[in-house]
Amino acid sequence: MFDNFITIITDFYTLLLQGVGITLLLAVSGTIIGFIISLVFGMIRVQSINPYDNYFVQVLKTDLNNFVKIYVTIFRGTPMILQALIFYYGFLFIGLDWSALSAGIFTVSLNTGAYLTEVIRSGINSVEAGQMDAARSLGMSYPKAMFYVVFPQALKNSMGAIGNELIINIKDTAVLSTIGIIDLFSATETIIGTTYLHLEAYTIGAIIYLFLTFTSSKLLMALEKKLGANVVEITSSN
Amino acid sequence: MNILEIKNLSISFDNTTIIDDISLNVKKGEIISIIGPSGSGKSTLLKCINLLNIPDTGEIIFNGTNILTSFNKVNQIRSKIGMVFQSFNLFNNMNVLKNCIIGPTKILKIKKSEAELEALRLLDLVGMKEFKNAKVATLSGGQRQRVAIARCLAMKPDIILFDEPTSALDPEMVGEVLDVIKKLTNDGITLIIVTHEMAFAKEISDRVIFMSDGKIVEDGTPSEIFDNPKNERTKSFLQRFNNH
Repeated sequence: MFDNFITIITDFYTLLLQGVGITLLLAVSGTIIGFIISLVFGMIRVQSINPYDNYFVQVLKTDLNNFVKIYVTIFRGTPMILQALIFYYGFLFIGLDWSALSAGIFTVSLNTGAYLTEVIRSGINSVEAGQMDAARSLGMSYPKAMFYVVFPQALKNSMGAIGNELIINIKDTAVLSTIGIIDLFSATETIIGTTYLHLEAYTIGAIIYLFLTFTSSKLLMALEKKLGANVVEITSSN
Repeated sequence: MNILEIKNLSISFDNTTIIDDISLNVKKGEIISIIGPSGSGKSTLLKCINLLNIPDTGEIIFNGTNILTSFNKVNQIRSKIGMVFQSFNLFNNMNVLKNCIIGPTKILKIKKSEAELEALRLLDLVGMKEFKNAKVATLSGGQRQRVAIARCLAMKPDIILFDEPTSALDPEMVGEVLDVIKKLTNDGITLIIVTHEMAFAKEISDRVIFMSDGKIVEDGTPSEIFDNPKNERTKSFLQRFNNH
């Protein structure tokens, strides 16, 4: 059996490496784009209506807030595998000819965006109200107070959860093989297709996933330490 | 000359009236202490002056401008009205010096080197110069409040509002903060201080205001209020203070 492991690795290492590359591409780009989405949407979620907002601003704040709430509910409430299939075939249906990989990145990004929106929202809300009061009392505009005072603290509070999302994405993008992306999981399936070595190939896949998540987890912890964030190890929710 | 004129100010939260038709004029350079039982609306009054709370009705005229109808100038107005909070509210993501230069550099657009020079002078004034690189989390409450006062002064405000500046401090740290506030009374800055430190209020104030149930009950010189209070509520409030 040990020979089988060696055979798989020597015969298919390029395929496995390609798989690793695609998995990391999906996870990293999905987390980064999702993070950018969550910055905008999280910021929308913490907007409250002020007595001196004009009618237009009040309507805008309410509508955007509702929009983000619906987005978060839908993406957190449905399996990513179905989101990927619906986007992939949906866009093909309306005539947009896109690759499975683009559909995959699109899905992971929106999915991550939904989770991180809640992370950013609670991160901002966890900063004491006095920080915003003090910034405003100095004469900072709301955006300046957010940018210089509240947001840096919110981000620091959210670092652990954001890193956790990357690790979840490394594992959970395995479901995207369903729409034909040749990621790490799909690579192991391909190996089985030619070798029929089920257990060996799946084990190798699992070991590589474990190596990827373990390494990124250590890298993230080092990064958090460097940024002075409170290092909290969060066990995966998936 | 009145730097601040408050006319018929009222505010209520959830149908509870917190400030009930208050009018108050403040002269430039005046040192005013506001005393009174908890929940009498003292802090809310300060927050209204700084627009952290928006009153339901009334006018607040600061330097001739009604600030309640000038929301487009709210940041400019706030930069002239400093506020020192009960819970200090130093920016946790910045060190002591950065706390004191963020306002001048980002709001007043003063050059960083100039802002630092001025910040160091102010930190020296409050006795915190040697802590300029310290993180907020490493400071005691009294030290934090002294930095908060320096941060406030760095904006060169016309008025400083003190919202119970020593209420959250351990007793042994109250003195160091009161000493710093005392230093400011000679600088010509208008100070409005909400406090429970009666001896301090009596010593430094030009004028003392007693508030109760959202109204100004009595308004006079320190000796009028503390030695000869006319109103029954002022009397019983001060009596309770003296008995403890």
